[in-house]
Amino acid sequence: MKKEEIIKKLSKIVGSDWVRTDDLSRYHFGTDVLTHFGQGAIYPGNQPLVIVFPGSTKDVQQVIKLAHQNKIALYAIGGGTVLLIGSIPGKANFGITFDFHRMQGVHIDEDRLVVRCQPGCTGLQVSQLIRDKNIGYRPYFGGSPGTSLFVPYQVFTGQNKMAGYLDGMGINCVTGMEMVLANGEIVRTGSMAQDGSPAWPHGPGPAMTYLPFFSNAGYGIVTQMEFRFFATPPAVGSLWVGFKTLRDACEAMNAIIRSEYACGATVMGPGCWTHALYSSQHWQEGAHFVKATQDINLIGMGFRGTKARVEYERNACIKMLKKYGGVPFPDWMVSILNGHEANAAGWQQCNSPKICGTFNGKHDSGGIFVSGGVFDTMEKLELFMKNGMDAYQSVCRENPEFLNHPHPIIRLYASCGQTYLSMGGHCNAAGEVIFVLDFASRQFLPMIGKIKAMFQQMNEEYGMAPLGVGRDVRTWTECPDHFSMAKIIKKAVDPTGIMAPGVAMPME
Amino acid sequence: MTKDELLEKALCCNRCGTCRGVVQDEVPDVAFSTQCPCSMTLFGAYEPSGLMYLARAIAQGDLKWNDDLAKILYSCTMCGYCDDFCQRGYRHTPCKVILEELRVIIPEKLKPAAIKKQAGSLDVPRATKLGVLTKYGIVEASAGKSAVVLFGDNTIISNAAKLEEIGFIIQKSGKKVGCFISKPLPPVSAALLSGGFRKELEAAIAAIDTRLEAAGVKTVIVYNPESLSVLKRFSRSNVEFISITRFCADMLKSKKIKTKKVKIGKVTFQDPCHLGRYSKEYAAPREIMQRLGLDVVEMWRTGYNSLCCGAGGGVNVNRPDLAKKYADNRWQEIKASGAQTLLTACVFCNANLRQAKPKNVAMVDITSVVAQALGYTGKEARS
Repeated sequence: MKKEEIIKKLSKIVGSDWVRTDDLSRYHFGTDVLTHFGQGAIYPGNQPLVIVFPGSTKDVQQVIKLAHQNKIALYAIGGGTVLLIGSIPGKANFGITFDFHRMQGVHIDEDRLVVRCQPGCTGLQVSQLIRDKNIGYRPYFGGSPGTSLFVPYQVFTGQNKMAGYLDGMGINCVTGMEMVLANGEIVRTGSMAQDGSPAWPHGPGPAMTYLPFFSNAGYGIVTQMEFRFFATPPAVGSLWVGFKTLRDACEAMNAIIRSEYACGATVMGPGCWTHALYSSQHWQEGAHFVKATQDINLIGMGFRGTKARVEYERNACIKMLKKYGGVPFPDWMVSILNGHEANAAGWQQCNSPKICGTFNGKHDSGGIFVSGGVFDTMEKLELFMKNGMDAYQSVCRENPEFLNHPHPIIRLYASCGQTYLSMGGHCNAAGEVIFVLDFASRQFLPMIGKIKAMFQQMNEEYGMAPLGVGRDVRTWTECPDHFSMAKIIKKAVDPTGIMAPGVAMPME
Repeated sequence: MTKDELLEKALCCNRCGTCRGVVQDEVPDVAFSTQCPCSMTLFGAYEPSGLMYLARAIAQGDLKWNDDLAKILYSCTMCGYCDDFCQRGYRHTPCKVILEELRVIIPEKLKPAAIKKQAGSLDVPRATKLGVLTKYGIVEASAGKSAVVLFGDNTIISNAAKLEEIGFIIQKSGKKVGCFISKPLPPVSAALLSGGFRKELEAAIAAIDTRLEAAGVKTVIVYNPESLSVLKRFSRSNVEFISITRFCADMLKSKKIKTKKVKIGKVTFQDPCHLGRYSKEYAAPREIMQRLGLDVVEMWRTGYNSLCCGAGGGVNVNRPDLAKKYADNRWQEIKASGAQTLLTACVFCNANLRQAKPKNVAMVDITSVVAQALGYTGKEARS
């Protein structure tokens, strides 16, 4: 079908005002924060042929049916506040992009303790609305404050973040969704399966609700979603404890898990102080903090409840962790978390735009995923981390201006995520290690390159399975079993492959 | 600004999109969730981040100027919310400067005629009405005698009724104020930035600086917020520029000033972008309302989150359809506030909102309310 004909048919569905093909719209929907080199370009900008603004689930369904009949690729963007990956077409001048600006409905159901939202809502809108209600309950949101709640990958990260803050964060409060599949069929899951279905929160697992997470619209377009409320804790607290070795930290972590104290307890290897980066009052503060803790293995955790409970659990954990050689961080260090808590309270999320300030202290700064891999033994992981930090520090020592700049930071994520069957943009495999290097200026590129080369060499020495991000083909090959499973599901829900080709799955 | 400099600035935007709106309270309608007027179009390209991407594309040569791009650019009211919000919260994309630069570099043939005309706003009208000020003891500014002067901006320079009212207020204040009456200062305003005439504006303000310094002026009172904001921003002199609302608010603090009750019912205030966001003067109008004992109700989007009336950036002259749409949106909120009178402090807010005004809500300039409270019964106050 010719482009003009597509536009005509789309106009008939949504109205001619809501179909756009002007240069700037196409450019805008063909580029994002990661398509420019200065901001850590990971993939090229590709413009869609046309952008369509549906006003209802019915509009979405009709557009999808049209695309299905004519084998036209579909991409989606939620509230238009996407920071990272997932809505840029798989190739240039290709496909239809959905924009959900017209679908910003929010409905709070106080009886069922859920909030139902449309894809154009932003986390910020929903949070503020609920905050104003002041009923003592709130949902937990992950992702950036402006970040669209949908498309469904934009229910974004947060699953393994610290959960101890006032509002908490994470995707686990999603209880149901309405999704339009590639053939136009509408699927409703969980709490939205029937009117008045109970809204039980549950973690990622066999429930259909979690199927499309991180799929970047690869399985279908979510048109409504329900989030469960949780009681707002009267008090929150946090604890950060350093260890000599990663092994000590892991053993201490086991003890914490058995005790059932705390929430969101996470082991972090050297340089894993991402929370400070995400959450400190300003990026310089976070950057300095991360640099000051480069060599520290630590456990971070949160506490929620009454003031007495928070205090009791915190003290109990300190006592327990000390047995494993843990040293609690001094108050001045922890006080940086006030920023995090204020941030979480303000935005109900963790990856505030402040992370963008961190990520791009200046226009030409950005983040580079230096290296990564999956390890099969603890020893390999420890050796990799040790050598990795040595490599980083050697470059720092040789280049004092690099070291002293408030921005360049290496961050190390170890075993940081759960793997979702459908993940496309993210590669959080259990056991994975990723070194992320933020840089503040192009002048540092040679040093970044040097560090990167050292890591690559180590990867080869250790024979690790490499990791990649974004459209890197390795994203789809890092976990072959998971990817095979994802392909089976994809085939079942999208046999013609029109849903976001080249994003969640490689271009056929 | 070079293309590289423009690109450097534009790339600060990572499109988090939060600048387009903040929900202040309940969201009774989708329309109220936006703070950026352009975002009411619901098109990403019209939003601040879209315009930042426009700058990026132009600077990189990814897009060439055309009618569509010009249409999008001139839909922006340059209210400054995006810049202020970005600066307030996180990183700072200098949206204001970028938007102004885009209006400078857009090819001449794509500049709308109405926008081009704005260069003419620099000219002093042949027949000004500034002479009426002498009735109220305001004298010709001269060296050593005029520490405080009133700026004859483009909205009052030929408006005798308004000048009478302002003159009356100044007289009541008991302050010695001068004015460049016989040879007025160039009536600069932000309209020049909207038109892409930044260099001309800067040159005019440099000339103003010279004359102010020569006359030994310490303080300049400015009525038009659009003039106030550019004078504050571009003047290199040590002169303090204050709004007429600040002057009134300070005056009303004095116990010597007696005021009478003004019966205008429940009031709400429309913060002009150039008074609030650009000049950071949010307090003065509220101090005035409080001191006059008015029954004040604030709108959802107020103070630093105030919504633009829709007139700025030349939208009122170039895209009256959009200006009306933006005004309609504002009126929904004004009506919902339950106010019987809308107070403004800007001629352009007044004019743009008036076109969509419902019959049952009155609109009054806050200066007129002050004048009435002080006993003024002239034309402007009556209107």
